[in-house]
Amino acid sequence: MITMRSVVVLFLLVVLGTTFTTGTWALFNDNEASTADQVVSGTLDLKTDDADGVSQTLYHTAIVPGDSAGPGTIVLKNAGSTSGSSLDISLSYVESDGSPNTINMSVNQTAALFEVTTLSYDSTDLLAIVSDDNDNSYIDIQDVTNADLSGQSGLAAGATKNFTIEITTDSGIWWGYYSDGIAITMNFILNQ
Amino acid sequence: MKKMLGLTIAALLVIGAVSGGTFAYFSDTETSVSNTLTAGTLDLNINGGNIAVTTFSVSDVAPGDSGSDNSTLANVGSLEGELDISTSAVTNTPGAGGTEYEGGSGELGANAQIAMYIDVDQSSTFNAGDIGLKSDNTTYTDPTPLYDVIDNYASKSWNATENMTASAADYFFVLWQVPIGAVNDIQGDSASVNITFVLEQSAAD
Repeated sequence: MITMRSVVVLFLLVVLGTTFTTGTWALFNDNEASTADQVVSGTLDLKTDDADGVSQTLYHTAIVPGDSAGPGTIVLKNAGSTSGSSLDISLSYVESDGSPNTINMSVNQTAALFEVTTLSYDSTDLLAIVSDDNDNSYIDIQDVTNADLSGQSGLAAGATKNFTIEITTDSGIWWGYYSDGIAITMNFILNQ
Repeated sequence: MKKMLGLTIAALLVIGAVSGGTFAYFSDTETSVSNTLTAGTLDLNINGGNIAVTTFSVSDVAPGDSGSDNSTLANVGSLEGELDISTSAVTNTPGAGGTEYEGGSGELGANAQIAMYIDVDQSSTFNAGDIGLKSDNTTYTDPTPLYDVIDNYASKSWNATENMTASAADYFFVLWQVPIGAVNDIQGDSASVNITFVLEQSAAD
């Protein structure tokens, strides 16, 4: 005969037994921490003369026939931690006339006036891959801006390479340029 | 089972798409700007412009008369240049209508005298540092004007008389006189000569 008392006692025993079993038979485990785990991306950081961008690599504002500007050299450095596999170079220009501009030559005529006598990167003569697009018998700024100078050798992390440019003008011509000028932008892209 | 396979493929596609967006290649671009190339200018103005002017013009002159006139030369370009000066042939014209003294071909150029100089310091007097132009194509600096008859200044040239820096300005003076001893033949006559000024790049001769 199961009495109510017997039920209560049995219930208490089951509860106590469960509690005891839980406290005694916990599974082994051991926790250890691995700290400071991180994934850090590499950096590809191109510097020009140890800075992010430079100005006035070439600058001459009173050019007469026979004058030269440069050579101007930019030291390109991969200041990052990841190697750059290739370097793209491109030039562009806009008109930048002075005053008095008695006869306004076009921006392309002005760019064609300036013969590029030196154009090198890492001792590679880039003039060899520039064609005389405007057929004036010499390589000039206009020709260089039309050329594909991408895919040059890259820069390993920490490595430096020089880019050099120089221009001149023909002393043997009457040129008819009065304060005509151009402002040139040189772009360098270091690719992973 | 088929449903699970479909979900798995979809999950892989999502992971692939996310991976493509995350792992773009690095690149860094730097520029060199303000690279400026500008042609210089040689721009000579006379009396503030680029058109011919009359530096001296006198009329009704008589023996014993004298005077002077001047123009202003200015280098308004951006470059230093050499100033070259030259004269044309002298044109002598006899007096209109003639007089009893008219010699027939105009004799003023053979009698009236001029002296020319560059008044570098713009003092309106011929002094040290100014540059005189002699009728033998040479220059002089002695601060005493050297006169000669107008005809002797025909077709002369004086190269590189001076270097004019950008923004420099000088006076150019012509002094004239008709000697007391000039003959009556000059009555009514006229003489004219053109003077050309060229500013050119240094060492361009």
